[in-house]
Amino acid sequence: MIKLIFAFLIIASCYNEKEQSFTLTEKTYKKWRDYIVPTEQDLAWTRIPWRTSFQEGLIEAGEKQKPMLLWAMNGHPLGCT
Amino acid sequence: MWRLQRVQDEDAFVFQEMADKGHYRRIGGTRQGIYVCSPSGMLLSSINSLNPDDVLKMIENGLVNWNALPLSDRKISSDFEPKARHRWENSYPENGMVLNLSKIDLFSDPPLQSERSDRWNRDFVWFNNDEVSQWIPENPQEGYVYSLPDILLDRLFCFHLVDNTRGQTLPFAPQEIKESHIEIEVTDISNNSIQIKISGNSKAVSRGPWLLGENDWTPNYELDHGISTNLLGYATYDLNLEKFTAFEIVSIGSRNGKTQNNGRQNSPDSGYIGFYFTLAKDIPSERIAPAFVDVYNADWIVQP
Repeated sequence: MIKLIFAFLIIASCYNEKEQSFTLTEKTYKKWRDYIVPTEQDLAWTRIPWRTSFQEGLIEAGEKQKPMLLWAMNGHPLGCT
Repeated sequence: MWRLQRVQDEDAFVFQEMADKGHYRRIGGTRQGIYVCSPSGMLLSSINSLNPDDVLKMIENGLVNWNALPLSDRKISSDFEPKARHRWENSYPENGMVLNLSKIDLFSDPPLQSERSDRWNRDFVWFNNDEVSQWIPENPQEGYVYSLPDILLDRLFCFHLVDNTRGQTLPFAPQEIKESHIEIEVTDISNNSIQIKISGNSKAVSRGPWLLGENDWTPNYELDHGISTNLLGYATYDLNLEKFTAFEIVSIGSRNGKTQNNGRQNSPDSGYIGFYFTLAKDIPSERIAPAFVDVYNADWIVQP
């Protein structure tokens, strides 16, 4: 009987631990925050001082007599504009 | 990007004419990609690729073509001024609060950097001055607990706590937010600043017909998808400056289903997403409008 109770407690504690995965508490806050925050590698593209307006980019390219590099994507990395 | 390839505006016309000669070589459809062009909008080279070597080669080709251009083609004429009559960024809340929101898939607990997805996304969350004041109770006292008003709950749960980690998704209609609650607890008041703890949860379920009317997001078919979230965060409000000087929220979302363009074709039907909100910097690349700005629940956003 005691063995059975032990087995039940072990199974119950495993089940509880599994249930607690991916939970957000004061205790787990830092763990998740530190993982979700973009890494230096994720943000490598931000080292370029991108302009965010095609119009302003063309005018600046004209003033500087340089060609313009345009990165135009929906949603990422500079949003839906 | 959406604006440049879709709207009837002078700067958009210059882009559309250039992009139609680019890698897709067709009029209409998506014009997403990476381009090198002259100041007058003459296409020099383009590609839509995630391969850095191919992109570098395209840029080098663009430079070769630029150097081959006669001087007259490198200049812009004095009357060339492709004005943008409307940009969502013109509604940037100068005296409000802008949050930088990062999101990424969570595969394991504890999370492993070795398993980190190379796909993540970001968005910006806008609040005007009046909305910022609603994050703080009117007469804050230490220990006071305050429920965040519906307008701010909808802002977060309809438009930002969504599954666009791998691609573009859809907003939720307010009726699709089945549960939503955020509690603000005043944890400390001292030195003219208020410390608050933010906690809450939500459940959004989208099943059946699209509820947000005819707009640019209207899907071609009905899509079942949803997300449940838990949130926890901390912020500091400066009473003298009348603004937040620190603000962060972490949220874990349990998602299910997929939408038309959110890149879940090869993903399991359900999974976890991590969200992180923090104050955006006042730099050009962080003054971008929210992805769903055109359907935002904010009447101070200037429409075209």
